[in-house]
Amino acid sequence: MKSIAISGINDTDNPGPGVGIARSLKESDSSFKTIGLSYDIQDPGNYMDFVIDKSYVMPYPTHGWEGVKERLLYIKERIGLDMVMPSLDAELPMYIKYQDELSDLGIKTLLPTTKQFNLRAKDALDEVSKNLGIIYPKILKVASIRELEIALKELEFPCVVKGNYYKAYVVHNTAEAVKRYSEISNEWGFPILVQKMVQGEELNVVGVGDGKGAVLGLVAAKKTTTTSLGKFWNGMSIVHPRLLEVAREFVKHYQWRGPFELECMVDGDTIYMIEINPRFPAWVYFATGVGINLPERAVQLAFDEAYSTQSEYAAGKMMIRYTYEKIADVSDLSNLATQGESLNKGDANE
Amino acid sequence: MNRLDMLALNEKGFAFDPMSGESFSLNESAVKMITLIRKEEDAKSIATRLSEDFDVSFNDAYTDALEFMEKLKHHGLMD
Repeated sequence: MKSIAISGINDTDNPGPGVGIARSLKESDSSFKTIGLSYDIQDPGNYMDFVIDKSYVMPYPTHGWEGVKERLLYIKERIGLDMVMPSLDAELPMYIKYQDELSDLGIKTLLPTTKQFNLRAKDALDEVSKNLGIIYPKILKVASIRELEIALKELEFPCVVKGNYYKAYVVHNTAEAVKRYSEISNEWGFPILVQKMVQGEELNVVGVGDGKGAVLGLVAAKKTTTTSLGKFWNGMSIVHPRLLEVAREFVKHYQWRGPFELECMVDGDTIYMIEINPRFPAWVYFATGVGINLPERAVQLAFDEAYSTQSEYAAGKMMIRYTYEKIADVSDLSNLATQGESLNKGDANE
Repeated sequence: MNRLDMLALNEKGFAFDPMSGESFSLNESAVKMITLIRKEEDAKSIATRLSEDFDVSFNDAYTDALEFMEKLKHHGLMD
């Protein structure tokens, strides 16, 4: 039995990938022990004991590595911990930096290198796109309203105002742009990015690279419904040969190791890079649902076990998200608040 | 295989493009036209078949066939 810790268990209307990863692992092998790493005691994943066996409240990565390491070692000592799969952008740099130390402590990871991680920085994407034979829409960094106005004049409306890590809004006039600029900078700081709007369908690819240039599997999907934050809600599996080829080339060219998502705009065979996410996306279970269980393959690679690289799947499969009510007891909340961990299964109401 | 050949099309006129994820609802004459275009029939030949099957003049059918082919090109389904 393997114990795998997974972060991003905020299965809300702005979902993290954690629950989809845990569900994929449970479907691969029900003996997997799935451990949720949570930053908020109200994260739904803390209460979803049908996919996450036990969860622990974690110190914020901004408070430093020592606290995180101590917490992981505590979990390892208490219930066992063989691998950690971080899946939130804000914690990835730290886990990437200390992945060798974790390995020395007997905790496996499957993460890119720091150099690979830096490829997803907005100012690196132009060169990455050129190397992949695709286009990166022009993007300008701004740090003041004056710079924003100059950028808007150059790029013209509509364009996209986005944060360096989170949030992106299409804007159609200066007032709207200033409003979004203020919102994002107040929440996430600077710089703010303004990007030229491109035509096409938003198509995404999820995959895992083996670190030697080969892919463990790829699945492409179209967002058919998004949340107000632009997050993937409903989707359709697609087979776009050129887009899948770009994803293969990305893994090959950069020897990418670990999970990734390419977010692209596609107009026929013209592909625009929007973002590279160096982790599984929140829709990762969709890949599992069409027969390509990427979290399972990632674990198998990390454990030096045999894995499938089969990537044939059907186009036209739909992912339908829905909301669901789980009833928990205040004792669940209490244990998370006071002990920093969920109750063991069946302990509520005792 | 070109994109029109890849289009999944059922008898009720529901078409799905596996490359873009787009789906379309087609009427009977549009289904007929796609079937004929896949057989590499040209606009004149398609118009002749449409005028026989749907009780329209050849000229109207020819205009419809040309417009439909333009729409397919617009959606990237035809070169």
